[in-house]
Amino acid sequence: MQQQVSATRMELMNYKKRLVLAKRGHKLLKDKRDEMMRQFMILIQDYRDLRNKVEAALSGAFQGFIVARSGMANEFLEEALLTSKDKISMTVSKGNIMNIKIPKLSLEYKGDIIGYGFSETSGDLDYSLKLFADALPLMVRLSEKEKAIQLLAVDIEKTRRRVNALEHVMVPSLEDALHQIVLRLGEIERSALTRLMKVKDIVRKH
Amino acid sequence: MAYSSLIKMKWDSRYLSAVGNIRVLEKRIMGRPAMVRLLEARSEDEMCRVLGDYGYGEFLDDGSSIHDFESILSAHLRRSYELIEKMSAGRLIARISRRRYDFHNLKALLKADLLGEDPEPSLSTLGEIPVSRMKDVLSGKAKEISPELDVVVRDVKAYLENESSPQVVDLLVDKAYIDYISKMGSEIGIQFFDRLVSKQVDLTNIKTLMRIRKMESNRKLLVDALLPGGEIDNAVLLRLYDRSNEDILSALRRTSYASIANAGGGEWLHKGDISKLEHLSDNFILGYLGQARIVTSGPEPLLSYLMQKDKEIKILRIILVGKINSIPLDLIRERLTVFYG
Repeated sequence: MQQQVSATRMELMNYKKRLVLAKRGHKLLKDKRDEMMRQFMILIQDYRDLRNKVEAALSGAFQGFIVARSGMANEFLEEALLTSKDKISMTVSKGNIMNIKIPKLSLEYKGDIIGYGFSETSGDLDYSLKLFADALPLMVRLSEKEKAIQLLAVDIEKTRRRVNALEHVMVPSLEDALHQIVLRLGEIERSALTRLMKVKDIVRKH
Repeated sequence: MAYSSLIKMKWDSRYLSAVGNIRVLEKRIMGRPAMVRLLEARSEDEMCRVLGDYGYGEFLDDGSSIHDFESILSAHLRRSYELIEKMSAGRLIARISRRRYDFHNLKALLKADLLGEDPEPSLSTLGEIPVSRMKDVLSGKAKEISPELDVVVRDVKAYLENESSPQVVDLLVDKAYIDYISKMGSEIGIQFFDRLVSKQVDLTNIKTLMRIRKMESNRKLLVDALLPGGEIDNAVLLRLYDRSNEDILSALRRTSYASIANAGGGEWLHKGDISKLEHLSDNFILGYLGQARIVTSGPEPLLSYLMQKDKEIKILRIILVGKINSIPLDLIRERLTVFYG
């Protein structure tokens, strides 16, 4: 689209400065986007590994729980699991990846996961609860990674739009405006020169 | 089992006809072939058919699904208790077995009360005492449940005034239940029953010791959890807590539970898996109950029948839960091997 620009030397200088700035911004944002992508890929890899671990841990825990369940009547199991002796507290702090604030979660256990008597319960139940307890910190780490990935993805998208806007809109339009100014100034210069030559010619005839 | 190790059984003519009936009923208990048939059933209908062939048919109507197995098993067990109640001259044998569920219900109500949880899913319908009466006593609307349960309520409430660990509710009620059945044993005056209780206490205590060690819990928990009245002194078990797993096993090998330690000790020692020991303990008790076979008139066969029914229900639950949840058949078969050898 043709822009309305005033073709002055001052404006030419302004546009040149803006173009340099836009190109520098573009390069910086592009570098930022690339680094964010690199971090994102590392996070994704960690997330995949962790997810596999969590899935394996949970599947083992559920299978253990079913085995425990098969050895106990439902009411006895419900009664045993009515309470737990352990207290879990979670603290949330802030971490930083490429200036993006991401949550850091940490768990603290107090007490014992087994909160039932031993006469009517089985060792299988202890074992499956232990497996669930072991899976919990992994699940928390997984959610931490998932949130970090989510936040990073939003920021990558934002940066990508900015890079694209600079690359495909801002820089071409500035270049276009500069080109127009240069053309217009050239035209003005040529017309001034022609006028001068005409004046000189008239002066010579007289 | 050597004949010399058998204990004296009393002749009690009141049980003459009951024992005759029990001998017939014992033949209908599902054995290994029936369990394997159930395990290999390819559809839910086939599973229902197998159950129907072994006395569970009357609890399976057209609309019932195998997924309702808990209510089917529970109804079948209730019928067995009622049958024994009718057959036994006094109701003591059936009452002792059903009182387990009363103690369980009380435990669930006390814990739920302490935590403000809903106790309904934890309540058993197999108890003898109505749950509503227990609820009334706990809410102060009534004063008494039964002498043995009233003592438990008092003890637990007294304990909870100082501390509020729900686990202790379980431990106190479990101890009270063992006290109760020990007293009942003395009341019935059968040596067979007394020894059965002490063997059960021993096996529970041994398993508790192993579980607490595995959990790396503190010694105090073991002190609180050990049940009284076993043949093995609790002080011995407490001493073993500080020793290595190998020491525990070799100590067990010197007791009457050597066969369990030999067959299942390895799994616990190397894998930390106690489930084989648990099943072997069940088998040990059933083996002990096998002595009731020589009794022609007495309460022992009735008790033995109820425990065999418990085992049947336990194995059925293992198979049904496993099949419903698509547990590999080999894994279920492996668990059955422990029961049937």
